[in-house]
Amino acid sequence: MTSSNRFANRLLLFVVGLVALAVGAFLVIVALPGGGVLRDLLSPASSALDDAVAATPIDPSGATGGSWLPVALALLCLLLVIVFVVAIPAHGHGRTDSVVVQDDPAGSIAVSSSFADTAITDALRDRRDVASVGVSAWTVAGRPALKVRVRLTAGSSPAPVVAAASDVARGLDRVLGETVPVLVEITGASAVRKGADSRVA
Amino acid sequence: MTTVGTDLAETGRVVAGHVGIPAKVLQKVAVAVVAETLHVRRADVRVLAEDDAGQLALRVSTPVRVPMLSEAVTMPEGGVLAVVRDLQSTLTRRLSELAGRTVSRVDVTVSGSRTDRTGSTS
Amino acid sequence: MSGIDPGLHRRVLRREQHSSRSGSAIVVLVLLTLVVGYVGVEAVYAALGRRALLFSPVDVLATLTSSVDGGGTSGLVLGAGVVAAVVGLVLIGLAVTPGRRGRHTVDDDRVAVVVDDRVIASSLARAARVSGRLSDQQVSAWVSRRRAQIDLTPASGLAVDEQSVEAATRSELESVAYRPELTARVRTTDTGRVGA
Repeated sequence: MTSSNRFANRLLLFVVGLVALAVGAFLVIVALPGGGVLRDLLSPASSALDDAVAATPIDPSGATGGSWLPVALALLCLLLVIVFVVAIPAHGHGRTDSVVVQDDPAGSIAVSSSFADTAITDALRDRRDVASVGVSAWTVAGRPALKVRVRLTAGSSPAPVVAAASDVARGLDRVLGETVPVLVEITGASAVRKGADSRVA
Repeated sequence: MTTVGTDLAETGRVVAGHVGIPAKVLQKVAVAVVAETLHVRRADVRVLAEDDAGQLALRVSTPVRVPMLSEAVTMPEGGVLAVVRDLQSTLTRRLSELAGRTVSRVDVTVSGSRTDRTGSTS
Repeated sequence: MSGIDPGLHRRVLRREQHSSRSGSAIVVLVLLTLVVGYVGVEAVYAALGRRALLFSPVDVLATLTSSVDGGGTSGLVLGAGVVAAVVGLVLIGLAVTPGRRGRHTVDDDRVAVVVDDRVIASSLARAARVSGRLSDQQVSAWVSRRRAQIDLTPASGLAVDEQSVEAATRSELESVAYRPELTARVRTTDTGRVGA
């Protein structure tokens, strides 16, 4: 339920992948004996680059011998790095402290996520088929929503737990006076063997 | 649990002088009122008293008692929000009675729940 | 149910069943930062007219041309090209494939439910053990998108009641409205275990 922009992630991977593939293909073709066509482009491109560097001196009188093309490149790199660095921690957010908020001239009322946490946990924890319960509050589509993570004891059927969770959520609706969306995540105790499939004895 | 304060009207005689009540005392009084009204432990309740343009503003953080959650749960009409609004008016009234202070607003954060295992709230 | 937008459950459940690719994206972003940062530093050096650390961006094409024509380091270029192309394909693959997380959803009016496939497999294995009177080492359950495969290994000399296992697993699956729907297939292995 995190706020990570999934589409942006995949777009990034796709674009970078495409660029890497293109560059890789280019290098491979150029390095191979049969890459004559592309290789012929290299020489003129190389001299064109040298000309461009020569034609863009920092100091018009030619004394310092530098070009501002690399400076432009450096600035571009800096800009990109800033974009990347900002993008890195933008994942995994979205948790919230309040489940219900009401403002009033008499005073604001905020029901914290801990309230829902203890209320739901107390209701489900004592079941024989439940090993542990964890509740967290998230902002989803602009509204608060709850994620209830239930770990079942080995071999238990999810059916009764789903019914119980549904019941508890309806109880919470009555207690809160508001309907808060709830996601129930049912996991099990991890078996000793780890694998990519769900093979269980 | 001690109930808080006596009715000022009982003393009858009005004596001249200023009654200075430090913030800490006001806060303690408020904590006691909240704990008494909601039937929770004083240690779980926090109250902050602030000035709001001359009037008293209270910030309350407290748990609230709830029955064990299920569809058949019985809770006073309006649920937790109604309980809190009730608390807001009770606090305002009691602080006026006990300390002569006018409360302009009571901001409440319900910090947690205390589950009644019997299945209903009193 | 008032207050809950029905599309919300669908959206949340869809997200919970597929990878967000945040992990890969972060790795790529970090590597990009390093690479682009390095290029930027080299560009600054080149702008100042100083010598490059490894190779200057101004001379990139020239270096490439000479290494390719000279034949000496063209192998390096080839290798780098292959690596880059492979990495590119992997990234494109990550971007395009759904990245299913091995979970199923359950229909419910009030809550959105997502269940790990391991839990489903575990519950089916248990149902099989109880109905077929088998030990946990004789039952192996595996859940994929639409199928639940249950393999039974009989004790040598003792026949396995496949039918009651089938009935039990089917009724277990019917008790929960999994989406996408699961059908159980029970199979008894040809070889048994002697001391089960």
